[in-house]
Amino acid sequence: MAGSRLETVGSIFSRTRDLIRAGVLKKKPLWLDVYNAFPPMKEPVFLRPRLRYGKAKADIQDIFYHEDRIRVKFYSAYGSGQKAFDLLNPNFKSTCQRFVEKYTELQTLGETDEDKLFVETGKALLAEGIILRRLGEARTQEGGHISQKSEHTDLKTLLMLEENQPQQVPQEEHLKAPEKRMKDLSPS
Amino acid sequence: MGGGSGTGGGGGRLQGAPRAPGLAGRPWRPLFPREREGAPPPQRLHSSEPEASAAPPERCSPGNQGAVPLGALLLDTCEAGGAGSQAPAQRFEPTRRFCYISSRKSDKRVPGCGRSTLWVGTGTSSADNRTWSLRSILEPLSPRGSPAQGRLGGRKDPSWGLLTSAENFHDKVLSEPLKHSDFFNVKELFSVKSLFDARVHLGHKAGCRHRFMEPYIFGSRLGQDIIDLEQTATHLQLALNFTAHMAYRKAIILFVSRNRQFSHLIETTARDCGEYAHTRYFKGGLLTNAPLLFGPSVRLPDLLIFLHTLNNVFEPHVAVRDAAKMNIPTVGIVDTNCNPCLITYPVPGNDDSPPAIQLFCGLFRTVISRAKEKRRQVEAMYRLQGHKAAEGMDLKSHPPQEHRQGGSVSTSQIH
Repeated sequence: MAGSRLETVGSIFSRTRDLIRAGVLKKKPLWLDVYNAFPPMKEPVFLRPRLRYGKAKADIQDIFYHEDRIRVKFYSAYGSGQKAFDLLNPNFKSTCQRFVEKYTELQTLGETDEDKLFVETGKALLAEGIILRRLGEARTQEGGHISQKSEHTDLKTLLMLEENQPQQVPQEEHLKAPEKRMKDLSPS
Repeated sequence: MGGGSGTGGGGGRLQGAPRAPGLAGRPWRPLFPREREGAPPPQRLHSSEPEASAAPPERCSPGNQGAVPLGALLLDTCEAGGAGSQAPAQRFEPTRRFCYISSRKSDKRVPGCGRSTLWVGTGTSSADNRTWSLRSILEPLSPRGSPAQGRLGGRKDPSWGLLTSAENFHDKVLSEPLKHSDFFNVKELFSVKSLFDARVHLGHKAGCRHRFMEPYIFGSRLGQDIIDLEQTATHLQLALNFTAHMAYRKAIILFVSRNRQFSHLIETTARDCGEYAHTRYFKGGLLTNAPLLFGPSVRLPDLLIFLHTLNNVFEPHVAVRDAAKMNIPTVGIVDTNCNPCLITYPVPGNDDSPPAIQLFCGLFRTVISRAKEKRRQVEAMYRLQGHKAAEGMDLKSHPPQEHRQGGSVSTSQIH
């Protein structure tokens, strides 16, 4: 049976159709009619993947939510949640998720000040029975010791902070968080 | 690694140590047994069936309603799902001189197994007096998923009443489903929500991304690519529709994957729908040099379904390129690190999570079974129509051959 084995030239459809039109291929293959009736969204033509050079970047956007800001604050203050994530349950709500929901609830009630909201949410969750251990308290003691020892306090504390960041934080927030920490640590 | 030795038709897994050193897995075994003893001779549509060719044109007589009245019908297509109860216990054995692709040279072709297309039940519904028109059979599947129930009472459709030759009917059978946009109703089998629940939207990390997959990616959440499920849904619908039409046309479908985690699942899926699978080492010239490997006249697969496009070293599977070379259409699940270029009907989706692969396997199996089902019904309809015409003539009656098939109805019960 005649055929064309040039997979880099055109698509299987274009090659087969042209062979039939030229009379080289006598018998129509089984799939030609079906392909004609229901063509794919993009014709399967061979393309060489080219590298991107210079500053060219893919135009795929990052996915961020408004709740991510709240999550950043939560994780920087309390570290990774006390309750383990149960991924098999599709309706699972982690401590962070409950925190976020409570936060947005209080926000809709009219509060505006972020720090106040944060504290209020913590209290509300405590009232519901979820105990949140602040990460900062354990941190201040360690930070204090190190600052006495070496002169490179800033670098060390930054490294410690980066070690203890369990969750990946978006870039813009990441810059804010160490600054906040610095404010917490410096008085002590 | 090819050419491993092992028992031919034997089922079962590794028995003791592998025969040859270095043989990792079990050599491939046939998915369905070879020719059964006592199987009826293969029936072909275009064979010289005396009654078919001698059937006179159906004239519109007063008794007819224009459509082909089939009188007391025995075929009960609405019981298609529970066919096993009525039909003889013969599965759909494809009649083809194709060899299942195995790495063993000694495995030659599977001789054509007896085709059991007939599903004529033993119970008579003569009391029913339902007239089925062929036209009603060739209608798209209802949303309920079961094949079209047909209409009680034939339709007045003169074009169908004048079916003469087998070729005419054959063309009609093949062309009719193409006129509907979703003849096999594949849309109802999945939804964006079900894809999401099966974790189809999860891609690899951004560093693994293939450049050609960028159009199909919705975004990147903390470094992990998320596939756009709206696009996946449209692509999947196209792919399933194409698969269904190919299965309807009795194509040979080959499932290919090199991911060891799902090797067994894919093989069982292929077996359940009566098709083929190759989840082992893909030898060099399997598709491109098939006559040498298998024998002079071999029928190659008409459709390749890739559950995993990459092989174990994260390179594109050889069969993708080879299918493009041999002008064989492909359907493939492409993850964010795959190249969708040469795949005819790519389906962007996760190919690493078990729920996702289980979903895809289930979808393909359902769709292929449905399409084959439909084809069986149509052919059975044709045969019965042919008999009706032959009996209407009342002359030159050689007993039709199908009725000799085990368990099927005898001539006397038609009236």
